[in-house]
Amino acid sequence: MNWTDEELVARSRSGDLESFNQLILRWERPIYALAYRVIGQEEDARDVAQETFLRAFRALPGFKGEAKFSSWIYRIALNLCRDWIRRKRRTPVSQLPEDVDLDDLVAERGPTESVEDLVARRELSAVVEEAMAILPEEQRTAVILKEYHGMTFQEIAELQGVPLSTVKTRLYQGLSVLRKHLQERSPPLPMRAGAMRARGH
Amino acid sequence: MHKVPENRSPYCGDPGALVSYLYNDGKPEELAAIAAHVQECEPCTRELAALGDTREQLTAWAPPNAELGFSLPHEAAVAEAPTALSQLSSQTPDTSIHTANPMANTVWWRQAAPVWMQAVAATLVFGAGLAVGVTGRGGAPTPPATTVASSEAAPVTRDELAALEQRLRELAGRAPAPVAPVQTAQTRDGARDEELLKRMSALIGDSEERQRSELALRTAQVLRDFEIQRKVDLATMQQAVGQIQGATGAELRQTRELYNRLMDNVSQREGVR
Repeated sequence: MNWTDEELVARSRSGDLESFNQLILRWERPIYALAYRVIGQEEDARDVAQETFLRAFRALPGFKGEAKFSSWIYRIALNLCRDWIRRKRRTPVSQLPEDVDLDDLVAERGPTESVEDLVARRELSAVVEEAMAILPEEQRTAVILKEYHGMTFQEIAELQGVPLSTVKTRLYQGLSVLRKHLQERSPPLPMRAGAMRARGH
Repeated sequence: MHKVPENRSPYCGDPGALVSYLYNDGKPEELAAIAAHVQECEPCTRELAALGDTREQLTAWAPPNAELGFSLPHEAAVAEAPTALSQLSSQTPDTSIHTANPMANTVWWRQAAPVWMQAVAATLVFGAGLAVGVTGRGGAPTPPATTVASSEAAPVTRDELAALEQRLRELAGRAPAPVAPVQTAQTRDGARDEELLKRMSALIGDSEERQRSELALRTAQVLRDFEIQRKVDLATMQQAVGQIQGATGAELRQTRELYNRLMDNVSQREGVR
């Protein structure tokens, strides 16, 4: 049975642990990805993601369903990430892989991607990660939520607790900084041939 | 910021409008108006293309493929539930999570027991064992758990153990015990002691004998080693003396030959005169 988030939340609140574990299964990857991109540390991102679900479980009786479950859990995760950044008093440090195993690369690539393309993609990934690390936290979070989690401006504004126009400004500024950094640092990439992504306009 | 055309649209160069158009996120009529402007404004088109290119590059950044598989075990949920219920009657989630270090709140069932708890457990086990041993010998019932549990987490010293043993003995002594079995036990104990003494004496005798033999052997070994070493030293000294004697004899012979040669020379010269 494919329950919606809201149904799973309702079942979890009535004591069905299995339903909550289904919510975890559904959201652990996005939450981990968010934590990793915001704080830039693999192990700590895991811990933050795990703690997010634990706190969500504790707070479940107080979750009345005014917001979507995803927004709620993202908010918990972002608060934990912010705590982590405050505690460390630093911007995220990129953990760039030093050794690249060719076998791993081959296993990782897509069905139509050559190894050369894959190597280039990984190099670009490292450059993007490096560029993201130089952004101020609020810009980085806005870009991450928009780019990688597909949130609307309104959702980001609610999560960040700022007006819609501020979110747009943060995004524009963040993208401009990234653009400059990537122009200076990024390797040539075959897949960049297409300019803008077709998004219906 | 780019050069603005003369018939400037309110959207031209506006970051908010550009971002809305870039992400296609806004009211339809607003997006349509921005699109109409972009079609006519080359700088805005270029800006959007560049931002789009940047977005394209951002897709390359993927988090590591970590093994996750989080889940709440049933026992954890049972343990967590009362806390959650008591905490969250009126709280919103983000106020409740602003507290602390995520790592500090690592789930309790994963944490090791504190040292003091382990010490208490060890003390209880040891005390219970000791009490069982004492009561087993004395035959009187004692309440070991109560006695030991009262010591709480404090470390047990030798004196305390002695006091405990003493107290157990007193309790055992106070308990009414049948006379005949005690006498029998005492007789049995006396016989056992004698046997034990004999065995101990025999063991000590054996040990002394063994030590004497070992001492004799060691002494003989030392003497033999000493004699060997003495012979070696003597031989070395004799060799050295012989070398010195040989050298001295050779020198004497040379001196004598030299002297004879000189004497011959002298007598030859006298003969010439």
